[in-house]
Amino acid sequence: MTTLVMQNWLYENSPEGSYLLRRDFVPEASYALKDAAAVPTSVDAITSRIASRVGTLSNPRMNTELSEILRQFRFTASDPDLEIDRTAPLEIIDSEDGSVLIEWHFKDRRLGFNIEPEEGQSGWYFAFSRESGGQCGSGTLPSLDMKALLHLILKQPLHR
Amino acid sequence: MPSHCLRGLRRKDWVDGTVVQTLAFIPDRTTSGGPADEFHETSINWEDDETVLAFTLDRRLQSEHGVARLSRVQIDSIRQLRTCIGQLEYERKTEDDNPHHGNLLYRKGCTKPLEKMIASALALDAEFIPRVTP
Repeated sequence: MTTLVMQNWLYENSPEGSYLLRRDFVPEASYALKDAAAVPTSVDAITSRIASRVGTLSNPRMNTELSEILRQFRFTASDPDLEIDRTAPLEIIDSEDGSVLIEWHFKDRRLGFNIEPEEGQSGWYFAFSRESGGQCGSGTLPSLDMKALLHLILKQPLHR
Repeated sequence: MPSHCLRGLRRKDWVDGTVVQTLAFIPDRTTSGGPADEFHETSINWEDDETVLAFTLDRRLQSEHGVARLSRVQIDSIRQLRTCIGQLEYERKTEDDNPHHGNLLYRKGCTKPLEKMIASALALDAEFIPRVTP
């Protein structure tokens, strides 16, 4: 399936149908040569709490989703153009409603991933404080564009 | 409606240091309220006057770990986002022993990522008021 890219993906809080869809992901040739050892120490450090929970969630699907979110985050955050040094570690939290939240906190913004007991409801979200513009966005996992999200939350220009 | 409301922080993991966590604003899915029972509720107290903060902190079961204060301007700014229209409301719902009680209302059927986004945005803008132990 051709990758579809819609304009104004994040900045207009677009409905989910307009998000980037990537169904037949083909890794770059260089990706095949990357392994865990090539991931910068800082990425390991900020994702260690998430990594420690792999395989521990209450059902196989949720564990798969956790692993996939972690994989995509680590891969994308390893981009040397992204400045993640001195950022806080990602947190993983069990909610009373049965969901598991992965969140990355900054002073004026947050990026989150929700892993839900209900199939099809896991996804991503972000929020900026009112003082920082009040942008918010969310979507389900099929619409996840980790590169765009990390560039947005780190306030760094996205080049494709 | 008053300009601010207070959310009791019942659990330790609802606050980290002075930072209110998203968990504190996730609705209780066992509840059903609002017009036509179409919403899940998150309990709050409306800050009708200067006594309500102490009133809320006195109810230790609901506020053991402090209180989060939100302004209605902050809530309305989230409600007015295009994807949030109709998904987040609020109400006053007095109880026999609590004339200040109300709810933040999350529409049933709101997608879970959107629900978590709303909770996260509310937490991000909330002011943390700690419990001061004498």
